[in-house]
Amino acid sequence: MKKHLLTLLSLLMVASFILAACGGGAAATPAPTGDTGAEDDGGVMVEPDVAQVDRVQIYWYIGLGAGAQPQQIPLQREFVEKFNASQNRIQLIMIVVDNQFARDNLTAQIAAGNAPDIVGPVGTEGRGFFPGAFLDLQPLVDQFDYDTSDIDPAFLEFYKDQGELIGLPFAIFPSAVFYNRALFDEAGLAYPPHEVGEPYVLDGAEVEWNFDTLAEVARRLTVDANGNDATSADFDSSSIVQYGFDFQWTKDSPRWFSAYFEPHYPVAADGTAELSAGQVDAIKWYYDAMWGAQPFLPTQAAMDSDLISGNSFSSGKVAMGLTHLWYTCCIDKASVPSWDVAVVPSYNGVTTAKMHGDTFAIMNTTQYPEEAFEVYSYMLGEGSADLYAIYGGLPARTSQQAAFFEGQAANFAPNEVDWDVFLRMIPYLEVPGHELVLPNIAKSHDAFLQFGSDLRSNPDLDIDARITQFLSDLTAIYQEAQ
Amino acid sequence: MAKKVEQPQGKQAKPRNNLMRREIRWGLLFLSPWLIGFFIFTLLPTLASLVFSFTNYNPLHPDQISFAGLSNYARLFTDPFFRQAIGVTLRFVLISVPFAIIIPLGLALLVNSEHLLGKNLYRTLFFMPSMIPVVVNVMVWRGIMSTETGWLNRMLGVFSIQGPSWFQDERWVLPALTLMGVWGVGNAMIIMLAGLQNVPTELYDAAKVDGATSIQRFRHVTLPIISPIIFYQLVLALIGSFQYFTQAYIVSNGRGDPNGSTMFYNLYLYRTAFNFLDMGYGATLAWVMFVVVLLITIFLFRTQQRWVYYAGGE
Amino acid sequence: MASQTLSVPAKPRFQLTPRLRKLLPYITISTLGLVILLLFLAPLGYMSLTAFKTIVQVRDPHSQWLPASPINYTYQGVEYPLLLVPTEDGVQELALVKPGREESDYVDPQNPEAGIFTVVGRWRTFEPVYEFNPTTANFPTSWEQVNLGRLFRNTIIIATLGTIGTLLSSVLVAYGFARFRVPGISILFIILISTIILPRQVTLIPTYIFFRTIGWGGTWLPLIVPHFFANAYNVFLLRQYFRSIPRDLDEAATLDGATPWQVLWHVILPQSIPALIAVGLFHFFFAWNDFFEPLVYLQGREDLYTISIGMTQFNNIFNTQPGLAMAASMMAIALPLIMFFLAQRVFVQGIVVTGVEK
Repeated sequence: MKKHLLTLLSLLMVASFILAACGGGAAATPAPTGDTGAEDDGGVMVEPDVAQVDRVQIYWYIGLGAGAQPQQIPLQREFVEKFNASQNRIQLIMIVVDNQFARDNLTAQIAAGNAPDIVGPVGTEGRGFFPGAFLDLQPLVDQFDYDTSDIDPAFLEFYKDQGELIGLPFAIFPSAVFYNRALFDEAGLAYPPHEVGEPYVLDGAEVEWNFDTLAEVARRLTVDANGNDATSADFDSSSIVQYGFDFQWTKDSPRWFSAYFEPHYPVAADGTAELSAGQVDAIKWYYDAMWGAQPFLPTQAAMDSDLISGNSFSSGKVAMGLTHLWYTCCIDKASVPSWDVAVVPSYNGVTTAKMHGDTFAIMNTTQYPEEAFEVYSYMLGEGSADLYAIYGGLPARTSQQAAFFEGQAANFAPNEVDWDVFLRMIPYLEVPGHELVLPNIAKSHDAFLQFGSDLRSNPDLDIDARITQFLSDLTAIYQEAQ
Repeated sequence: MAKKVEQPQGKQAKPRNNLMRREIRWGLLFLSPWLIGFFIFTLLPTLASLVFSFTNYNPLHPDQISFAGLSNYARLFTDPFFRQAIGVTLRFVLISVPFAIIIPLGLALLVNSEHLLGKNLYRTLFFMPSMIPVVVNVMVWRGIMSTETGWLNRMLGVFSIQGPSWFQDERWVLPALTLMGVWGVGNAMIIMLAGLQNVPTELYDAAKVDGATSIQRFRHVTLPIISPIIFYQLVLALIGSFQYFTQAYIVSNGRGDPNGSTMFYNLYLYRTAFNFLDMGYGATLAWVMFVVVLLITIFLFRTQQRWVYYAGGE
Repeated sequence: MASQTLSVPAKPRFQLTPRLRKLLPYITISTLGLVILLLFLAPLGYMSLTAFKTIVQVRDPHSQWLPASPINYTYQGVEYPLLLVPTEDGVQELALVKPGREESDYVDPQNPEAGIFTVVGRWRTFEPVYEFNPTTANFPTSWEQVNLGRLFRNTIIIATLGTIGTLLSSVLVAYGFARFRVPGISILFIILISTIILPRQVTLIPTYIFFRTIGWGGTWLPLIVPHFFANAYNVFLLRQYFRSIPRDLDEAATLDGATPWQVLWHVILPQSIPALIAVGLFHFFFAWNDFFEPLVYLQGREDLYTISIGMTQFNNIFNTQPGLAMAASMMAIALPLIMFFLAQRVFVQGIVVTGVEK
């Protein structure tokens, strides 16, 4: 008995040391790949996707923005294979990390000196968390004489972070009000306007399509279990079964939704934190929409209930959702069979369409910037149609936009959507952008999120005092960076 | 113990030394797997991060690293988030640790009771939830504790109690997490059960003959015998609550919602190091927590002579 | 145990038969146990019921307990939900064609030729007609969506190897700590305990860099090999357990000339089977559920992912699918559950054996 134990023990010990030694010998093996290699069950020691010696390896990191959804992964793999087959100098290898871990994960990779070459698709905010980590593309654009004539110059400007062009415009996501036709019909209300400046018809009178009008419409679309709407004296706010409006996935940070009212960079000239009057208005409007006498916007508790389960407009229980074009990803056709889009309401007579712009970026630690740019040009050029189909973004190149909308229309048929609304919103693009990098960005972003969470979950907030406290916290965070 | 020391006393000093040397050699041999592992996987990385705590190390700019002296430690006194995180963690320790001892002990007593029919089934079923991946655990409990549709508030509604917004109310989220933790006490219950099974039946019989009530038997027979297990559980629960991380990380995607009330110390540490990329300060936070928890643990071990009973003797 | 306290206050009016007196504690304790168990398992009930719901059912306020769907009536090629509408002729089952706030249009399935007519009254206050309508589609869908088969295989390999490693090494080390007088051993033990309280984040970056440097990044080795070097939790548990075994037994064996190996093998281990099984199971389930380390070390290696990492896809805030998530979790806990059922018999046997020896 004793012998058996000893033998087994020593064998296992030796085995683990041998494994350790083997690993040490293979130190030169390159970074992991997202590919299912030929390995069967011995995946412990072997790197399945063997790097090809005669090619330069370019690692493509997916997950900071779109791309980690289960249905997108195989399509991206096809894209990689297509690229690899199209030439014989570069081996493109993709790394997919789930969105909620990607930021931490990329940090760990960078910290270990193991950064990928290309990152994306990723928005301004996602790039902002890695200040100074990306390559300025302008020299490469000049060197390769890359054609940008088909791109709106406003977009090129929009994509610049701190004056550097770290991503060429790829996909843009303008905002619009998604509305559920059935719920408007049931309430006997007119649909919201599809043109900027067009009035809304309320009780037979034409009124300006602004946030006050939207609030009034939303109240009438908010219904409790007994069928009373929020304007009724009998309305019971503890049994709401249908909400009028939501900032669909654009409300976590007050910086996001307030951009629909008034775009403003929240840093004063002296480096302290500052909110504009319009932003403060937006915050109060939003808080009142959840906790006021006639609420019409789901609180955090409502969002987390099974009835909405995190995706409000798609649940069919929210009449209007103000969000970006990417939301077409996640509308459940069974719950919301008939929907359309309307223009963003105005604030003080001005319409602002919050914009997202996704692109790819090259990390400045790459050893092969030219090869990386070659992949990059393919992604934004020849291969772009495939990628637009995967990510659902409006092509920044004018010539590709019609084809994109045709695809979208086919996807949602027989429901008809006035896709041109998105194009009409582009001229009202926000300046300055709501995702511009702030001092001490990661921490200041957190402070915004915490403030947003308080708004959504605290019914007894003294809003002016809370704003004052928030600004003083934020100022302290800005100054920490200096 | 005393017997063993007495025996070699009559003999010469030399063989006794040999015996001791032999014992040391054997002891070191048995300890060696841990000693090696400790050196490679714990000591060296820990020292490396101690060094980081005196620097401004940022992985995005590794070349700009420079010594920051004690400035990271000085920041602790001005950092409002540090204070918030300490508060959240201490509150959670106070709320959750008693539950982590009493509930598993109660369950273990229940499933050890000779009067429970189908004991094995109960053990398995009580243990089962602790095998559920944390991600799933959080998703299930978010459903159960949902304000409007959750089963918990509906059950309370039967008794005409208006349940709170468990996960969306600053005042209720820590009790909610504690309740969620109670669901996963299967491990602790099994450990307690193993302890209870080890109580010699003769002791019970003797106590019964002496006319002890069941409460007296629990107090004077069961508790002393399983006190090492309770001690173990106490230490683990305390450390576990100080290091509470994964659930908090998943429940709010690491953001500490609502309004920072789940920004546990360890979560703040993690965010500092991996989101704010402030690894120097992150290492500082880690070391501060390490020292505090170490002191508490040492204190607990100091007190154990008073209430922990070892059959093997000291 | 509780028999005496419970039987003492038996009132004279209720003269319990001896047979009932004997049964009473069983009834009391078992009922108590059952109530607690039901509370304890309620979340699993929620999980199981949700696993059979479509996303529409999850969000439907009329389908909050059982998976149920409204019964529809097809009128002129379009489906409309049935409601119990109070009319002059009593409550009728009508199909809601065009909902309105104060009055809505309906059609009578019994008499569709009559066409659409209007009934005054809020449709939201009328009882809808529902039928029990579970779906099993969540199981194959979630299985395929995250490739659950591969996740299972990966997790089993990692968990099994790690369990072997931690059992072997922790037994040795715990024995060392429990029975040998090595100078400074109490300090070593405090150091061991300190490693429990050492936040993972302290060692994460240096360890990560170390594993990458020796080429173990993107492999399972960082998840397995460290467990061959003992783990503080398990050593602590086993040491406490070993120490509660009377020393007289191994001293007797030592006097008979047994080496420490023999003492460990013949004296300590046979008495520690419950603890060994507990440690083995704990590690297995730890590995089954661990999500932080696989996350860090298997980044981007989708083909090597473990269950808990795979499951995070269901926690995606932009794609909440409670039905799929719960179906996948039911499948994910099935195997550990079976293992535990099987191991429990050994567990009980181990206890019986040790009891006899005492």
